[in-house]
Amino acid sequence: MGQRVPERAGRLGGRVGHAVFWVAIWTLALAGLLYLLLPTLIIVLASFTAGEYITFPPRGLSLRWFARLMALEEVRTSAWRSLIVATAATAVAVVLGVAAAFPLVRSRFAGREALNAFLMSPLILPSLVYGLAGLMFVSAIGVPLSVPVLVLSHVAIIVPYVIRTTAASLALLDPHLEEAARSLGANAWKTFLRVILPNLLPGIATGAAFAFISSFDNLTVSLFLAGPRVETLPIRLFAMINFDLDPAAAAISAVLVLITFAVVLLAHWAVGLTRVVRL
Amino acid sequence: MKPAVAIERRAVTPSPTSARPDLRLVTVSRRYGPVTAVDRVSLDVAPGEFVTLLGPSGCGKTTLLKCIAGFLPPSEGQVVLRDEVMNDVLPHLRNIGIVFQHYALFPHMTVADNVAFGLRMRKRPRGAIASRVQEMLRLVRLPGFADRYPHQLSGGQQQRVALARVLAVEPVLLLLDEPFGALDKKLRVEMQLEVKQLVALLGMTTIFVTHDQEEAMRMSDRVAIMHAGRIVQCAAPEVVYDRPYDLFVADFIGSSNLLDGRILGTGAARLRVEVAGVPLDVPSNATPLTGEAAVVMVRPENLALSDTRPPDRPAWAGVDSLALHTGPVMEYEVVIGETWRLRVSRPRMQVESARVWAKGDRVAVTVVDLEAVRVFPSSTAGATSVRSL
Repeated sequence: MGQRVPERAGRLGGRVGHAVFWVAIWTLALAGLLYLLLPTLIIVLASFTAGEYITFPPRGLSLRWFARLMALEEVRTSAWRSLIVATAATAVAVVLGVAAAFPLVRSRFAGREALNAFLMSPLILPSLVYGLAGLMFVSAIGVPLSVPVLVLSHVAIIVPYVIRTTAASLALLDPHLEEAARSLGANAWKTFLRVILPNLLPGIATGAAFAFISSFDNLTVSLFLAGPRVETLPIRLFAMINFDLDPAAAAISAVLVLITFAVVLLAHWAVGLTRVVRL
Repeated sequence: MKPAVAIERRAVTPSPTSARPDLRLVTVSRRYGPVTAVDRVSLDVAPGEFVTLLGPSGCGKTTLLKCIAGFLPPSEGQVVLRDEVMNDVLPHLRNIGIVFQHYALFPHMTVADNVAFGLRMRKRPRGAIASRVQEMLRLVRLPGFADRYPHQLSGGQQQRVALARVLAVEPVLLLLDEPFGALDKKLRVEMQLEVKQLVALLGMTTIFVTHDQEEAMRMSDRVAIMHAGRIVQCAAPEVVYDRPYDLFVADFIGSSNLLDGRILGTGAARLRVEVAGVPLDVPSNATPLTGEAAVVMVRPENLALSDTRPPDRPAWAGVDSLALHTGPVMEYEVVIGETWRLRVSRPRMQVESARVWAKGDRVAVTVVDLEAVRVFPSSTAGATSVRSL
C-alpha cells in the first residue's frame, strides 16, 4: 500500500496540470477577444452620446447623431456609393476568383505554385503601394478616375479572399464527383453548375463575405483611386475625424460595425444553410 | 480436340462468344512523359461478360479504366465501343457507367435526385424519370430511401445507390473501380455476391478493377492480370489459377511454393526436373525453357504430408516447422535440408488427411498431382520474388 502514495500524488499532479492548462487557454482566449472587441465596443457606445463631442463614457444617451447622420447629404451618398462599389467588386471578384480556383487546385502545370503566390500578392503587398501603383497605371493609360475604376481596383485587392476559400472548398471536394457527373452524361457546364458549384457554395459565400467587408471599409486604395468626386464612406469618415471629433463619425463607425456584422452573419447563415442541406 | 499445350501458349483467351464485342481495346498505350502506364493492351469484352483487370497498385489498371471512360486519351491505339471508335468522344457522350471506390454520390442531392441525374441529363420526360428511379431503387433493395441524403446511408447502401444511379441510364458498359475497397470484409463479400447477381440479371457488360485477387477470382468470367502496364494473362479464373502464364501470375494469384529447380531432361510435352534432391516428372509449360535452371511452382494444397516416405512416388523428408489452424485448413511449413521451405495446406475434414501434425514432427512431403505442377524459366521477366528457396 505504501507504494501507492507517490503514484496518487503523481496522478493528482497530473490533474492539477490539466486544470492549469485549460484555465490558461481560456484566460488567453478571453483576454484576446476582449482586446479585439473593446475598442469597437467603445466607439459604438460613444456614438450614443447626447453631448457635442466624442467622449467615453458617453454623456447621456441619445440617437441624435444617427439622426444627424441621416440628414448629412454627403454621408448618405458616400454610404450608398460604398455599398454599390463593394457589391459590384464582390460580384466581379466571385466570378474571377471561382474561375481562378479551378486550375489552381485541379490542374498540374509548371509554375502553379508561383501563380498561386502571385494571385495572393495583393494580400501581401501593402495596399498603400497598390493604391499608388494603381493610380499611376490608370493615369498612364489615360483612364479618368471613376466608380468603375474604383470597383476594378477593389476587385484586385479582394479577389484573393474568394480564391483562397473557394480553392479550399474545391480541394476538399472528391474529384470523382466530376467524373461521375461526366460519365452520367453531364457536359462540362452542367457538371459545374449542377454538381460542383452547389458543393462550393459555403466556401464561395465565406470568401464573398470577406471580400465585401474588405472592399466596404477599404480606405488606402480608395484614397488614391476614388478621385475627388467619388467619395466612399471610409473616406468621408476619415475626413470627419480629421476636422473635429464629430460624434457623427462615431455613429458612422457604429453603422460600419453593424453592416460588417450583418454580412458575416449572412455568410454564416448561407454556409449553415448549405451545411444543413448536406448533413 | 486441341492439345493442351496449344491453349496454354496463348496468354489471352478470346472472349467466349464470337459475337461483336461490346468493348474492344486495340493496342492501347498511355504514356506520362517517359513513363508508360499502359503498354499496348488489347482486349475484347463480349456482351454480358464480366472481365476483371487485376494487378498490384501502379500496374496501369486505373489508367486503362480512365482511357476506357474517356477521362484520359490513349497515347496510341483505339478504344472501340460497339464498333464505334471512342478515342475522340467526350466522356459524357460515351454512355459508360462508373462506380467509384468511394461511390462519388452527389452529397447535395437526395438518393432519388442522384439516381435521376443521368436521366435528367438525357432529358427524359419527368414521369418516366420518376418511375425509372422507383424501379431502380426497388432493384437495389432501397425502395424507401428516395428522400435520404447520401451521408445518412451506410457504406453498403451508398454502394447500392451508386449502382442504381449508373444502371438507371442503361449504359453500354459498366466500369467498377475498386468498388468494395471501402467496405469491411463481411459486407464486402455480401456486396460482391449482390453486384454479381445484379449485373448477371441485367446482362450488363462489366469491367471490374481490383487489386484483390480473391475478389477477382470470385466475380469474374475472365481475369486479366496486369503487370507493368501490360496484360500478362487473361483467362477464366480457374485457368489463371491452374495454369499461370508466367512466374508473375503464379506468384500473384493464390499462394504458391516457387522453388529453384534443375532440369534433368525433356521429353514430348514432359519434363524431368529436380527440386531439393527429388526428381519430378511433370508436364512441360508454355514458355520454352533454356538452360538447366528453372522455377517450379507447386500450390500448397497440392502437397500432402505423411509419416513415412511412400515407396512408389517422389517425396521429400523434412521437419514440420510451423502448424497453423486457419479453421477449415491446416497450414504447415516444412523445412527440408538447410534451405528449403515448403508450404503445405491440408483441409482438416478430409478423411485421408484427418491426421494433424505438430511443430517438430518428422514428415514426408509428396506432390498430390504432378500434372498440376508448373515449370517456368528462372529468368522470366515479371517475377517479383522467388520464395521458398
